[in-house]
Amino acid sequence: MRDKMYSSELLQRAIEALASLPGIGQRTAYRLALHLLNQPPSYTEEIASALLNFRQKIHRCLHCHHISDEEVCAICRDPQRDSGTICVVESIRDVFSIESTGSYRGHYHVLGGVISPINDVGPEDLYIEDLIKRVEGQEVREVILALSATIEGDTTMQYLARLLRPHVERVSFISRGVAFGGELEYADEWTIAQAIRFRRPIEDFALTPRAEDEE
Amino acid sequence: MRIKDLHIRFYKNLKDIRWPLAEGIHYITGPNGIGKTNLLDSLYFLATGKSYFTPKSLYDVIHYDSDFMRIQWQSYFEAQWVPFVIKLTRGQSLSIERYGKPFERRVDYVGMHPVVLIAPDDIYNFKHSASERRRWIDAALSMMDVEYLTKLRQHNRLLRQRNALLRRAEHASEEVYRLLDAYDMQLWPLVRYLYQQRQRYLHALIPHIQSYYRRISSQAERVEVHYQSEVAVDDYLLNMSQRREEDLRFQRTSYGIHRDDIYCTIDSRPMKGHASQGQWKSFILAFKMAQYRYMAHSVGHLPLLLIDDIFAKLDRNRVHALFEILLSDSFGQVFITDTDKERMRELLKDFGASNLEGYDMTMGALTPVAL
Repeated sequence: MRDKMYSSELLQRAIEALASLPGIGQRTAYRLALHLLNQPPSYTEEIASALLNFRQKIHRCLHCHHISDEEVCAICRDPQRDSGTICVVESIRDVFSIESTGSYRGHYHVLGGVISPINDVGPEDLYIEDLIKRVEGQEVREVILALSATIEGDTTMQYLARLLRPHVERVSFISRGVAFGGELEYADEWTIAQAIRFRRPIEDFALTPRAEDEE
Repeated sequence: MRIKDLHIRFYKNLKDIRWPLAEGIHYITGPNGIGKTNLLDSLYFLATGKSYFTPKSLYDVIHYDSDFMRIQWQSYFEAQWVPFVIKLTRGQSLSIERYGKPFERRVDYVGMHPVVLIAPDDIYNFKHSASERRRWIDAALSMMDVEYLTKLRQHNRLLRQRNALLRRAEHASEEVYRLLDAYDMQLWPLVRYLYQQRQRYLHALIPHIQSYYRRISSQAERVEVHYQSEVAVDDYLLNMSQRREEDLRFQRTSYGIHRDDIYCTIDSRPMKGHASQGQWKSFILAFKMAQYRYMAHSVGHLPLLLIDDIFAKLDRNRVHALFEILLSDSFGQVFITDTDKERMRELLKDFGASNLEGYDMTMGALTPVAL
């Protein structure tokens, strides 16, 4: 039925490709394709080459796994930044969120997710080993755990805290300015800035009293 | 709390029902299959966002000929009538609106309309299923206390993650133990809280259950309920760690409040094996009425009471006793369904109270019954 609608297989394929993107439906894809058609071919070539370049040449930073144009990302290369502090986050989007607050001058470590056995994600599926190697190999005073305030985020923070404590002077987690059940990505900048500023040592972890605290 | 101007569209087999609603008791009769139970279920859905009878499959509440269902009504809160709408479209999430503005989180809505429902299957379910018995406690506490609901959800999520880990782990390793530590540490404060709340609640129900039981059965036996748990809250972490190897072998969590139960006795003997059918019926009714009374006290206004087709299962004396309770104690809006029109006429005549209204349900309409 669609073949009849467009009477061009080339147009059809362009629409299907565009419509496979999140947030773009058939109608929008159709409009975008016609728009490209109305512009000179160089316009489409520029878009296509920008996307191809982006996708093929973008790296994951060797140290922190943030996206980077080179082997090591701009944040890890910046001599002005404090390499003695590492902020651990779930995804690159969280790096952007924290960076946009301008309130943090240390390094990052992108885990690539949180531990969730229901979704078949275990510690071995995340960049946890790399993180441990980093804190063993370089002088790190503090690791800040900045994961989402969810069951899965909390579990991952607890797990990491145990692994990190022998190697790092101070392991902290971001303050709970972020509502429970809230993803870091969706929180406003002020909330994130407050949460970074008022981080607390992991011993105070609000949700998780330990056996010795009770006695 | 009171509701009025109910308008139901495509809820199960109810295509289009408009019902102004009165105060007091609504007694609804009509033939089987006309939708009396669905009518009560729609009221339960309005209160909880869930069906009582088909809680697991959300879209089953939508009429098979329709893509959506909608329940619209007004509730009396703080001296004014507030319009509410619940909408559900196939493939989409449930939307609940007040003054046309959707609630962002379900927890903000839950508990605004407290409700107790009594159904014929309750007797069988309570007798035979421990998970059903736990559901009776959890549903009531969740309705009265958002903190309980939130913590119960966190607990259940942690437990699912823990069980998924146990299934996923091929063998015990340091890594698996470290993760189990992380789950158990988070579970502990939740287990402690939920355990204490359940125990306190059940304990508080006892005097109400005993008083209602005496009035319904007119017998002198003494019934009691006990919260039964193998969990020792103070040694929770120790017990959890001792059971790890067993848990890994059976790939599920063997210790915790997800296995707790209600233990019922009659004259100090277990009801199971010692209580007659009639005693069970009186007990279940008394239990639900006690839940109603406690809820009314706890939330500070009268919940909806929904009684679905149980008179057929009760003898004349129990029906009369129940009616006397409904008319003498304070209840808010009560909805009773029955297939027996004669029984309704007789009861309306016997009790003839001013806040008691009969309705005849036919396909798509409710007609007041004049005596």
